[in-house]
This record gives sequence, C-alpha cells and structure tokens, in this order.
Amino acid sequence: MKNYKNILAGFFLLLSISSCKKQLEIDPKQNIDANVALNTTADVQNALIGAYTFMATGDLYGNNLVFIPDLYASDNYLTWRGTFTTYRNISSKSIVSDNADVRRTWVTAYSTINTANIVLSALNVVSDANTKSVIEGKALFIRGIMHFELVRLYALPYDASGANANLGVPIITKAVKTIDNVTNSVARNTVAEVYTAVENDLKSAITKLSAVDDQYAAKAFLARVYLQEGKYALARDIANDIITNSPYHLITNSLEAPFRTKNSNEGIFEIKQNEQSNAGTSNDGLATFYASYQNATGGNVGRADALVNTNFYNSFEAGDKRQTEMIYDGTGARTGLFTKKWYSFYDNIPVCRITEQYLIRAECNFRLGTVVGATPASDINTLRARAGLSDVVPTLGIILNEREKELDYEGFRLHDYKRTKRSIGTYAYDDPKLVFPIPDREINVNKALKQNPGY
Amino acid sequence: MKKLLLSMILSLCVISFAFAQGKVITGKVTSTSGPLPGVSVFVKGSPANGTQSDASGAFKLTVTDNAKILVFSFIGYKSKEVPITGQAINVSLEEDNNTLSDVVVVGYGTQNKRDVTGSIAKVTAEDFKDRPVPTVEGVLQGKAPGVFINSGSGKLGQALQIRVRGISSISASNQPLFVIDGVPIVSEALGTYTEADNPLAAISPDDIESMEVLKDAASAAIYGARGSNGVVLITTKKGKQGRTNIDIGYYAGFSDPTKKGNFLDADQYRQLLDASFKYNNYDNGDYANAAEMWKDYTGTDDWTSNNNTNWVNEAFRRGHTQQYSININGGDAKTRFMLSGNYNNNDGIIVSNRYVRTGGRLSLDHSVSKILDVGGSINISKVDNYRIPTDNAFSNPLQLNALPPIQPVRDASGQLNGSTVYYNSLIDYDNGKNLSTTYRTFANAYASLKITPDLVFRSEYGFDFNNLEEEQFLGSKTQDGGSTGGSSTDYMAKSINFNTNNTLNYTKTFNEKHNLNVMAGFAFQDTKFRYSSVTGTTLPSDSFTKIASAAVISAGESSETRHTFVSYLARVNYKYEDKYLLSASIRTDGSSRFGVNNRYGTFPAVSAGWIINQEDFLKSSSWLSLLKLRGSYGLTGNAEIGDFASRNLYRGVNYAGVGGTRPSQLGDPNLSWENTTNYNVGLDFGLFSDRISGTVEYYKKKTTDLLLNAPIAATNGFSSITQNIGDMQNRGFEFSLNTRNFVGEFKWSTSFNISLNRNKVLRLVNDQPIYPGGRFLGRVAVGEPLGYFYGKAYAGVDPANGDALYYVDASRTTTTNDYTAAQNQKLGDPNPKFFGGFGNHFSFKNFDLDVQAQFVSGNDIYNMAGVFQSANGDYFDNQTIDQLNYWTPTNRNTPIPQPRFGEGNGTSPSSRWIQDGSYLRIKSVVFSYNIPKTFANKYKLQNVKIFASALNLFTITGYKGYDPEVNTPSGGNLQSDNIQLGHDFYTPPQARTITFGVNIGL
Repeated sequence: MKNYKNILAGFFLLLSISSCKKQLEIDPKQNIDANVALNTTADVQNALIGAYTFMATGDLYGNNLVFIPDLYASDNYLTWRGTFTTYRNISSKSIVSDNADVRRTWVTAYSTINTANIVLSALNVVSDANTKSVIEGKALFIRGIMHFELVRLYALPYDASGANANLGVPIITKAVKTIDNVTNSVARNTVAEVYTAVENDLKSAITKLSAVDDQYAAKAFLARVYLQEGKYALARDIANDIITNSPYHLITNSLEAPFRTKNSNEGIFEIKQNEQSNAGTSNDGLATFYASYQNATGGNVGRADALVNTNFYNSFEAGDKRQTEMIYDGTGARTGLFTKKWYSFYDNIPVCRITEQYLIRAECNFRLGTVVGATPASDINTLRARAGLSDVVPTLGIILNEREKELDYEGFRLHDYKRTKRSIGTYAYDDPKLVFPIPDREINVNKALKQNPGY
Repeated sequence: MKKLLLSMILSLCVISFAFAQGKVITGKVTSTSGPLPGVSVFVKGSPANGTQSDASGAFKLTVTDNAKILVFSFIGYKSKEVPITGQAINVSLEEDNNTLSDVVVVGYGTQNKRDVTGSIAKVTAEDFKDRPVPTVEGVLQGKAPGVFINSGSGKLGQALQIRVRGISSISASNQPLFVIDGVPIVSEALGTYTEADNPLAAISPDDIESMEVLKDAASAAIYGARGSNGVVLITTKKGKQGRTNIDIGYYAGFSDPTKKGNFLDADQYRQLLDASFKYNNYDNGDYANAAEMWKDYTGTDDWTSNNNTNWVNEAFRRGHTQQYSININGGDAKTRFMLSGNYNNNDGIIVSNRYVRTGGRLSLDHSVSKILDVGGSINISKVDNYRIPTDNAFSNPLQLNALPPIQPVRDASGQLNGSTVYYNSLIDYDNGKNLSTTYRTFANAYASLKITPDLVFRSEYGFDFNNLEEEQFLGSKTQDGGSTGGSSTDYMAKSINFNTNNTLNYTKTFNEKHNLNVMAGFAFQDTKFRYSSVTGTTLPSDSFTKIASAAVISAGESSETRHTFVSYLARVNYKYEDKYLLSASIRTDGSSRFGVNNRYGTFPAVSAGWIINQEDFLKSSSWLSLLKLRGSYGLTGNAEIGDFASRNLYRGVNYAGVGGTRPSQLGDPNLSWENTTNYNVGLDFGLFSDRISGTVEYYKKKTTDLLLNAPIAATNGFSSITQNIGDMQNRGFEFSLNTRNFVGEFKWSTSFNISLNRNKVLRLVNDQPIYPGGRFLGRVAVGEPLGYFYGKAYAGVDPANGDALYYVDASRTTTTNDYTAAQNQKLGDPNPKFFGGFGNHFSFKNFDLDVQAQFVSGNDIYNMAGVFQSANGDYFDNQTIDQLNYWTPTNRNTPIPQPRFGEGNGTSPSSRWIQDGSYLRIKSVVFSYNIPKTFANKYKLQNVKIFASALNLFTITGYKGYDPEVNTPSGGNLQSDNIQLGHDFYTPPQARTITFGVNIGL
C-alpha cells in the first residue's frame, strides 16, 4: 500500500490539470466568427454575395416579391387553387397580422438591408478604389430596392399629389453587428421619407456603379420608383438612358427566351438560380406555384396552384403570342391555364427586363406629351410587333393594357393598379385591405411601430 | 493522463493471495418452495473462496481453518450469514420482499435506499418484463411519480417527451440527461425529421436491470450543468455468480390503432360540399351545379362517380410484432459474464411504417485480486426504421383523411390515383423508399481499486458511437420527387461521444455510530457530431434509386459540431446512528458551449434526513417499519443551449455558383447555463412490516437565467438572440402508495401514484410574451403556465345568419363575426392538472396477472388540423362527421357555421378546436403462467413461462381526435417545440398491441 500516497497525489494532480482549459476552446466548423468575417476585400465581397442570396430566397424575389403583387391583385387575373392558407388569404384580401408570408418577407428584407449595411460599414478594408466603388454601389442598390419593396407592400400607396405623410416602413442605415447594436425602438418613417431614402440610395448607387453594367439595374429600379411616384419626366429620362446606352436590348425572335436563358440580353437585373441554389422545388419558388406539366419521366412539375384566370386569358387580342405562346394548358398537378414565364425551378428570375423601360418611356412620353427617345407609338408597336400584333395608335388605356399583357405575372399588377388608382375587384386602390399588416411579431417586440389601419 | 492511470493501476495489481489448506463443509440450501440451485456460498471476507449449490441445492466447500462465517447469497432472497460450527450446514433462505432496503443507483455510486436523502424514482426489470415495450423509458409512464411522459405519436422509433417535475426551460431541451452505466449518452436526434429518433431505441429493454430518475437537487446536482431536467440512470444487466443460466424468450402479436377518425362518406361529403358551393351560387353563377364546379376546380369527374373511399382506413393496417431474445449469464467469484442477443421486428399500424432492431451485448466483470476489479461491456445494435414523413407533410399517411371520399384510391388503369385534390401519399410508398438505419455502439470499461479497505479509486471510460444513415428515394410519380424526375437522398450522421469519470470513494464507520462516505472526482466529456448528405435528381427511370445514376447532383453538404465538458465533483454523506442523515455535493462544470465571459458554473446541493422510527420513542412500535423525513436544497443547470450559441457567426452561402458569406447568428458573450434552484421535502413511510409503504413529496424549483431566443425587431437584421433572460417556476406534489393486500398463496399488491405540477413563467425579455401564432395557439407569458393556449375565443354560430362568432374580449359578453375584431385571450392550458398510475399485481400458484393503468387529467388539446378537417366544408378537405350538423335556415342552433366555400367562415385558428385531453388508459396487462418446475425439470428446463400481454388495451377519453396522447412537434426550433404543447396535427395514434410469448430458462 505504499503507492497509496502516490495515487492520491496523482489523482489531485489530475484534477488540477490546466490543459483542460484548452479542451473548452472549440471553434465552429461550418461557420466563422464575425471577428474574422470582414477583414479583407474578399471577405467584404463575400458578404455582398450573402445579401444577394437573401434576395434569392422565396421570401423575396425567389417568390414573394414577384408572386404576391399578382396574387394580391388576383381579381379576374390569377386564380389561386392552392392549399397554402397564407396565400389563399392574400388572394382573398383576408390577411391576418400573423400571416407567415407577410412575416417572412418583412424579416428577410430587413436581413438583406442589414447585410448591405454591414458591407457598407466594412468598406474601409477595401483598398482598391474601383472595387470599393462597385461594392458600395451594389450594397446601396440592394438597400434601396429592399426599402422600395417594403414600402410598396406594407404602407398605403404613394400619392403623387399628396404629402405622403402616411406611415411607411422604418429606414435602416446602421449595421447591426453585435448585440450592442441592437435596437428595438425604431419607428416607421413616412412614405415620403422612405421614397426619398430609396431615391437617394439608388442615385448614389448609379454614381458608384458608373463603370459597370450594374448601374443599369439601379437605373431600372429608379425608373420604376419615379414612375410609382408619378415623376414621369425623371422616369422617362432614365428609361431612355437605359434603352439608348445600356447593352440590354429586346430579343425579337422569342418571347420565352428572356425567361429560359440565363442572363439574357433583356435581363437588366436577374436573380440567379441553378440546381443547387434556388428558391425551392416543392414548397416555395415561382415555378413551384405557377407550373403544371409533366417532365420527361412523367413526374408532375409544379404544384399548379396559380392559374391564369380565363377572363384575363380572353382579354388578349386574337393572335397575341403572349397569349398563344406564353400561356399553356396545364398537364401536371392541375389542368387549366398557366403562364410559361415561371416554368422551371432552376431558371433565373428576370426582375427588371428591358421591355419595362419601353413601357415606362412610352407611358411617360404620352402623359407628358413628349417624344424623348421615341414616340409612344413607336415603343408600344415595337413590343406589339414582337407579340405578332399590328400597330395601333396608343392611348393611355392602350399603353397600360400593353403593359399589363407584356409584364403579366411578373409582380407589377398590384403596384400598377395602385399607381393608376384603379380598383382591384371591389377594393379601391387605397383600401387598407390592399396593404399588408405590419407582422405581429414585429409589433410585439417594437413598441414604436404602429400597425396599419384595418389590422 | 490515461497512461498515468494505467501505470498506477498496474503497479497495484501484483498482489496475490494464498490460502492454507483447511476443512471441507457440505450442506444443502433450500427455500419454502424446495431446494435452491445456484446459490453462491462463500467465506465472509473472502468472496474468492466460494462455490455454488447444485441442482439439488447441495454444496461442498473447502475453507481455511480460521474461516468463521459462511455467506449464502442468491438474487431475490435475503442473504444469510451462518457461523461455521461443524462440517455440515443446512440453510433455508427467505425470499426478499423488503423493498426499502434496496440498493439505489445514484450519480457516481450506489446508496442504500434507506439512506437516500434526495428524491429518486426507480423502475426495475420486473416492471417491464414480458411487455412488448419498444423502448425502455416508456415504462416510466405512470410508474415514476413526477415523471410525465407523452409518447407524442404512434410512429415507431420516435422519441418520447419526458418531463421530470415540469418544464424548466423555454428554449433549451427539456429532456432529461440519460446516463447508461455511468456514461452520459448522446440523446440529441441525429436525423432530419421533425419528429426526433428515440435515443434509447438502440438498447433492448431486456438488457436493462433498472432505471433511476434523479429528480431533486440532492440527487441531480452531482450532474451539475446538466441536472436541471432530471437525470435518468440506466443500469444494464451484469453477469451473476452462479450456474450458467440461459434464458430464451419469444413473443409475437398484432397491433391496431387505439382509435381511427370518423369522416364523411361520399354522399355526406357531396351534401356538405354542395351546400358550401351553393352559398356563393356556384361561384356567382360561373357554374350551373356542383359537378361542374368540382370538375373545374379539381379537373376530375369524381363528383358524379360511384366512389366511396374510406381514406382513413387506407392509412392504417393491422401491425405485427415479434421478438426473439436470448440471455446467457453466469460466472464464478472471479469472473462474471452476460451475453445477450435480440431481434425485434415491428410492422407498424401505419402503412409502410416498420421497425427492426437487432442487437447484442456482452458484459464482463473480473476480480483481478482482492483489491482490483475490472470489467466492461459492449452493446452493438442496428435499427432499421422504415419511416413515414413528418406530420406536417402532404405525404404523411394520416393526411389521407383529407381526401374526398368521392375520389378513388386507384384510377381506372389500376394505378394509384394521382389526380386527388391533395396528394395521394400512398404513391410515396409505392414509388419510393424511406429508410433510416442506426448503428449504435455503447462500450465502457472500468477499473476499481481498493487502495485501503476504506478508500476506493474507480476509473471509467465510456464510448458512445451512433451512426445514422437516411436513405430516401422518391420516384417519378411522387409529389416531391416527380417534379425533378425522381430524387434520391443519402444522409449520414455520426455522433462520437467519449467520456471518462475518475472518482475516489472513502467509506468509514467510526465508533459504530458515525458513517461517513466521501467521494471526489473528475469527469471529462467530448461529443462530436458529423453530418453529410447528397441529393441527386433526374434519374433515368424508377429502376434507378441511387445517386450514382442521377443526372443532377442538386445538393451536397457536410458539417461538424462539437462540445466538451470538464467537470470536478465531490460529495459527502454522513449518517449518525442510522437516524440522522446529512449529505452535501458540489460540481463545477466548464463547457465549450458557454460564452467566454461565463465558462464555469458551480452547482452545490445539501440535504438531510431523519429516520424518525429509529428514535427511542418509536423504536418499539410494532406497526411502524419506516418513517423518514428528508429535505434538500441545491442548484442544477441546463446546458442544452447549442454548441456555439454565444458567438456572432457568419455562414457560407452559394449564389448560383458564386460563394459568399452572410451573417447567421447574433450572439451574447455572457451566455451561460440556466440555473435552477430546487427545494424538496419528502416523507417516506412503511407500516406493518412494509405491507403499506409510500412517499409524500413537495418540491419547488425556480429556474432563472432562462435561455431565451429573445425576439428582437427584425429591422435589426436578425429576429432573435439567445440570451439568459427569464425566470420560471415549477411547484409540485407527489404521492405514491404501495400495498401488499394479500400475502398468502394468493398474492395481491397494489401501487398507486399521483403527481401534480404547476408551472408558471415569472419573467421574460421585457416581459414580452412569446407568441409565434400562425396555426399555433401556444404562448409564453408572465404569470401563465408555459405554452398555454391563447388566441381568439370561438363563440359559436349566429342563429340568424350562420356566421361564425367570436368573443370580442376576455369578458366573453359580446360577440362579433369579424375574426380580426376579436381580441386574443387565454383559451386553455395543455399542461395536465395531475397525472399518475395505478397498478395491481395478482398471483396465485403459478399464475400471475399484472394490470397497469395510467392517467392524465386536466390538460387541453388543440386539434390544429380542425382548421382543415372540421371546418364546415370550407374547402375540399373531407370533414369530420360532426360537421354535417351545419347551420341552415332550418337548423339554426348549432355550433357548426354555415358552409361557405372558400370564405373561411369560422375556419381561422380559434378555441373552436380545443378539447379536454384527459384520459385514463389501461397501459399494460400481462397474464402469465409458470409451468410447474417439476414438469419443466423433466425436460431439463429450469423454468418455462407462457404469457399474454396487451399494451394500451383501452383508453377512456373525451378527446374526439385520434388519440389523446399526442404532441405534434412544431417543426420549428427547439423553442417552438417546447411551447407548442398539446397540439395535434394529423399525428398517428398509439397502437394497441396484443402479444403472446414464452420464456424458457435452460
């Protein structure tokens, strides 16, 4: 038993082994700590890509920001047959304030904005001035368009002749990087303030991106913003600039190509998707809800939840290829009429196409009685010719109808009807039921936020 | 570290003993029922000098001249010490019925039950033998006071929800820590399913000797930062000294759902849906009649067909179960072993659900010398689980009940109908495969060294490897695989868990009055998880099911995570004159999971007991066999907070082929464990030689520093941060009573227990309620129990027009037909008011009958699927039969609103589908017959027992859904799983299983 003391000593030595401290220092494997995430130019570029991946989710351009403006304004236009009650309620304007789609779009839009703000706050590690300028421009672009999408969905419409003092959405320009940056008392800015912020971000973005084609994405959105605000001259001039100076142009021999071909000549701003990176193939994503056909092995593609309404289908002029070529009879999960714009899970999503700029230029020129770049008739008939239709002498009604046919199911309808003060079904353009509620979860944690009327 | 220990141990191994020649003693061991074979007989103080009685009970042993006393010991009998007076010693052993002197397994040791000052519930192999229980922890249901168990779902191989003395966490896991033979095992689910795999599925219940649940701080604080949810100590069977016993068991049986839903038939469905269509004049006159409208909406002519499908029945089938097992054990004074194997095949009650377990176990204990024991065990198993999808998936077979009865199962060509309004999930089983295979190994080794007669050093090493492979193929006809031309996924997950415990244990009695036991130790645990998965799509045809043939590799990833615990622990037990008990323990835990500012936590506990009947004034009492008052106080923690929750993190992302990063988590560097302060007082009593015994206990637990995913404004770019904010308390009362009503030839014993727990949330982040909403009603708010139901209160139907009505506010005086105008309010509570069990055991001659009942009372269940299936024909979903009583101008007084197709008349989440979930269930009935020994012995058999057994034989409940024992996981994170209690969403019911079997002892 002589070892007795040795064992005891050994045991207590073991207890006091200090190397155990090292055993407690473990780093995550597939994540990195924020301390090492933004230290080089490459790091900052990576974070910028991160912002695009947020935008590509079904919460934003991967589905909701394109789908909901058409679903919400579905009357005589889109028939929702799906089982998702969140979408059914949007379609029937019976949204409750904890609607999951209302929530997810809000949450992810602000995650995107924060990522853009993080990029902007980390620019000092980017030494090359040109690179820095491009990164900054893209981050401002992202921040601008996210605020624009939010204010259009979550606030009463912008009125060109009004003060726009209605509550918009909070404008966020400070990055939240650590717990110390968190604030739960941000109030909603007014609609006017949000639009001003959006304009400023996009204008700065255009300046910073002047050396690269991405400037035209910012310009396309700025034209869209101006049009929504009824600032027709400004919208017209930007549209004209894009049509004249950008490398993007109409694909004259195919209506389908801009949707099937990645980075097509028409796509000023596209959300990129592929087999490994897409908004979803069974529960989310545009093709998931819009498609209805069978693939080569006989499987159904798409849930076939969103059908082209027969009234809308019948409203096309005879021979309009946008009807005959871009709308098809479903053969998949449901029969009926379906748009061919959102057909395959892995296609890119063109958010801004050049055709929109022709329509903006035509409408603004017509409204202002000007012929900047081209006559309204020339622009409209360019698009009609591509659709296999004969020339017309445009009126505002014809231009707006042309816009509706050209951009159908691309996420314009709700915003266009509000802009032009047309009723949607039985709802006046400014009916509170046509405005999303501020998500419940947000109202609960942020006492400074006011709920929208009607919720 | 390990080398040092080994050398220490080895240096002490070189001690040997020699015995002098002595005298030979012979004799016979008997009991009231005849000769006893296999009894170990040895000289007191020299267990190595021993033998066993043979088949006739006879023994022969050579002892040294100075040997004074012989010890006779046999399991189930009281040990007897007999002085060596002559050459022949005949002994009669008494059966051991005195449960109060049982040994109880405690953390890092064992204790005499009489000396325990903490609160521990125990279940032994006796409590679950011959029952077709799939996993062992289910046995605690209704048996262990304070332990609430909800099986959650009737799917095979699913983890049970186990709550020891209430729910003490909102965001972290509430499952207890499982420790098998001293090794904390990994109980995190490795799989991808919302419904977690059962971590104990790998262990055959037949291999388990006992389970102890540590409930209060005095017993659980020795597990420190992991003690708050209670600790379940599982002790496996070990080899026993004696003759080699071979036990062979077999059972087989069948199972059916405890209950099936009652839905409309074809005519009833047409009636309801036509009424619903008609309200809006068939879409404002777009259609002339229901058949036209149906055709346009669904693209089928089924309205005019003769189909009358019972889709509910399509989801179910009669299940079959069978099990083979073998157990060989024996050994001598030096070496004991146990070897076992088992095969269990269970074809479940839900189509395509099947569960097969194959396993084996070897346990070895060896006494190297008088002072050194070594041993270990290894358990290997394989579980094949043919799974069904999560509850919230169209492919969940229970969702088949949503399909209209007018649609056929198969189309005209005999193929499964692919044109149903919702997915015909039978296609998934016909054209797909869904198999989860688990390979699990538990291994442990120990060495125990008596440094002095009073001081023992014990070193334990444990490994727990778990390997899960999920193989899923979805063919071209399936909903989720069809769109991509077939899809195949292989998912692999591993957990690698290493643990070591090293303790010094000092036991000494001073002056025959002071009993002292001191334990100090060190433990280290390292747990790693590794995951990888690949998905391929676009397979050439359904004959190709492996990714090798996929044209598109659509997803692939691998990931890894890890955490460690470094722990120091100590405990002192002191007993004075078998009357006064005092105990104190402390543990310090360091973990990689805790934030840098809070790396170590310390968890002390103290307890005391007073065995009152040992006092002089009661000692002479003939009727009082035990009266013990005990109390404890201490701290425990909950460290189940995720491995890197305290960090600010970025994750890698793929943007169509371009790599990037994005912020994924905002962390709090102060993040630490949750603290629970536990108080416990208990009274144990035994009357009339323990013919009546029982325990009364009261406890109070206050948990502070609750880990909360504190919601923050999403305008911050994140929607929550994990922080230690919030307090919660649980108070409860437990009572158990065991009586032996008849003890003669006809034996009857009864056990009863009842537990109450009251949970209350005391503090939250800015006292802001946590209310995910959406489909769910569960909410967390200050002053209310966790997960209480909150939302709109349904007020029935306006007799005037058939509108669904809701109460405007909590006063419930005025109603409105505007759902959004109704205020949210408290609607119910999913937590039971009380629960418990009641068991009776009868035996007469060779017959045994055991009946165990289990009850839960006062809890509410929200049938979340009601929004679809009991929604007055609002959409195409088939409806429960009660919906036929819908409002019409001639049926004005009804709770079912007027059917209005697609208008959502009363179909939003509300109290409309909340029901009382109380139930009483005959959990198990076992009837067995032991074939007379004399007859068995003729065929060289030790014993033969035949038995019939039933699980979930019947259930009494007012709940209208499938089964009241239900808990649909929310499918979100851990927090929402914790909050959304008592929700039922197309969850499969339990199985009623009847089996017949035989046990043969060779």
